[in-house]
Amino acid sequence: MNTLFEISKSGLASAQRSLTVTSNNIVNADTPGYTRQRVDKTPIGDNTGLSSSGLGVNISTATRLRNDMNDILTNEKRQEFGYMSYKNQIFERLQASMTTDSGEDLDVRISRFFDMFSELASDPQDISVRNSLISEAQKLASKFTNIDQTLSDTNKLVAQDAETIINNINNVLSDIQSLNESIVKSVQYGNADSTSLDMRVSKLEDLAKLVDFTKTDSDTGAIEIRIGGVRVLDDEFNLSLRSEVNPYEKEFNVRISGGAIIDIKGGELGAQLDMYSNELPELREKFDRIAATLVQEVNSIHNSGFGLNDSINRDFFNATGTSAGSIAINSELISNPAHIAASSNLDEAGNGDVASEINELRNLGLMNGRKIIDHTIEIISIPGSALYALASQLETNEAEIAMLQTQQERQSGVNIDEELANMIQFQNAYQGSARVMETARNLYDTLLGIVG
Amino acid sequence: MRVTNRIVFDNFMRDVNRNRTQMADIQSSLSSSKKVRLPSQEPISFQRSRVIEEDIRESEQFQKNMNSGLRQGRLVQDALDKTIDELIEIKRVVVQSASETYSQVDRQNMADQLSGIRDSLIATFNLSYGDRYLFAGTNSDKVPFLLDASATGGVADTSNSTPIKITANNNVEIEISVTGDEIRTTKKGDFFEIIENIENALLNNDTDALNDLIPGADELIDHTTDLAARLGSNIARIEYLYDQFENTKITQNSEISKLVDTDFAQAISELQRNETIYQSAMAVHTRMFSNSLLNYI
Repeated sequence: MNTLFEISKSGLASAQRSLTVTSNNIVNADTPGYTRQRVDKTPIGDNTGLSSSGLGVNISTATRLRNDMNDILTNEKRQEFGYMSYKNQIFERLQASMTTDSGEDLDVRISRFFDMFSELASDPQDISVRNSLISEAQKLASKFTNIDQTLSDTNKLVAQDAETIINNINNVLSDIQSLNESIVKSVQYGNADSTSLDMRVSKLEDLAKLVDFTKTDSDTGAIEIRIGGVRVLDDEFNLSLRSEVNPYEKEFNVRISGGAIIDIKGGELGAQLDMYSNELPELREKFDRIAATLVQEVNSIHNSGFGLNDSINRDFFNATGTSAGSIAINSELISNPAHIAASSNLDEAGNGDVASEINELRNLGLMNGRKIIDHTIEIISIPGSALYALASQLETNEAEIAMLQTQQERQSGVNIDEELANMIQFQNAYQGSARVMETARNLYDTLLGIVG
Repeated sequence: MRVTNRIVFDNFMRDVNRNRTQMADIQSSLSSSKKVRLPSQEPISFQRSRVIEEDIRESEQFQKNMNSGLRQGRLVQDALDKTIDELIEIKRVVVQSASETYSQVDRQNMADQLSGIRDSLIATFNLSYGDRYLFAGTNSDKVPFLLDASATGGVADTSNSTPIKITANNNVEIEISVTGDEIRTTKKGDFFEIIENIENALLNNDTDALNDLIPGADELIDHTTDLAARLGSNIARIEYLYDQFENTKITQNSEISKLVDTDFAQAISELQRNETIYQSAMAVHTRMFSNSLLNYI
């Protein structure tokens, strides 16, 4: 008789626990990293041999429904995403400074510069042509300087971003370490703390965007994280990262505090290191080469010619300024444009042979056999071409992440309708158990009535 | 297969975002009339169009040079025409004066007339365009012709034999004037010397000499006409090249247009398609999300 009470009591408790889990699922439907839970129930058997009907229901655990392998795959994709999206961001910035749809870019500036020499060749005596030539040359020089400045600013920005990211990584690592500790404790008490597990999943997602790492699970419930092959975190300790920047050698290294330099290839930090040490310096060097070629070629012809006033051979550009950042026009020519050498012979004001020869430079294959302007167009399009390639890769990557997330969601995500249906079911179960209890009471009442 | 609320919502957001990105692209290409504005949109088309634009800029500069050359060349042409008129007048004087019917006084007057013609010839040859003396060769910043009794023919000049020219194309330079040297060097001796000889013969009342000088006066006309013809053919050549550049520019511009301009019909039909997709995405989303078991319990 008493079993009826026990059975209905276990039914009430089970329904209540199930309702708790269901309501927790519903309110966390939107929480990042949250994993749907399900109450596992087993019937309580009877081993006395007296009754074959069983003795109620037992709640074993609330199970987290999550696929760990899927998390690992998704985090790899997130790492690629972090890498590419950071590069995307920087290249967008560079593209904006190198190519505009107004068309006043470096290629046009070089072309206008040569145009003015062409005009000077046809009209070497006209001072207004000479003045315009100087102003075009100044625009060209300042365009070079602008681009160089943008590249150097971007380099500084990337270094700053990398510092921020390293701080973030350190914060995430120390968070994961404290989560590790509480998980290890809860595992020792017999039941892994699902809230901490979910938070750890979410922290690992954050970390994946920032840097490439490998994760190993241990029996204690803790995870071990290696960055660049070096163990930075397990259940007992975590190490922090710090940066080592050498702005002159264009080197940006990440060192484990008190340890070795580690090799970082992925995530936002990987992109930052690559931009800082390779992409940006290479791009800068390409502009330097254009500037250097222009300075040398123009000077060597200009040097052989004569201005209107005297017999002195002058450089057009300062011979010392042979990089994009330092290109400048000979100040003597700026103060007196009559000194621009258009003539191949002394005292021939109407001779424009030298100017004409300088104009011909635009058709020579000065840059690896290509015309200087065609080459410039190629170089200023580098950020755009990189963006074009990244765009399709990013799209694929996003689709992959979305696909993997959907797969995970199918298992671990919360379907509100399903939970509501469960809620009705558990409510009914509760009512049913309560009815059983009432029936049992009625039975007792009847018996007691007979006795009374 | 379980479909959770989040799957539905994430898919919806992704689709709507993609749709909005496409809409932004269409909007940009319709409002700017360019489908490629930056290299990131289509690097190859962008670079090709920029290379062609450079070719066009170069041709336009050549055309500018030609315009300036044409203005100078036509001034020189006018000056040569005027010179030929004056030389015909000289020839008339020589032929007239060579006949016996004229008196010494008449020939004196004719000599005066001739000296006036020479002065006006010098003025004509000192023609300038801005501060550029067109008959001075490349020595064009100085007045080329000056009266100077001690010089050959009584006229000194500082012009040289290098003609002034314009750059009309790659490696194509066209002379836009004739030099003082070329004018002076006729088959029958120095230009001004012939005139001086005629003047002297008139002053000396020497009909024999005048008769001998008739071929010289003829040569002056022939010589100048030859120079004018040469310049005329240069001007014609410049005009021809100019038109050729115009034609090439039309082809080049249409090439650029094919590479980077918006195909409006296509863009607008894409816009309509995207609009429909966007609206139906919104509609289906609102329907789905307003429906939940919650409404029925």
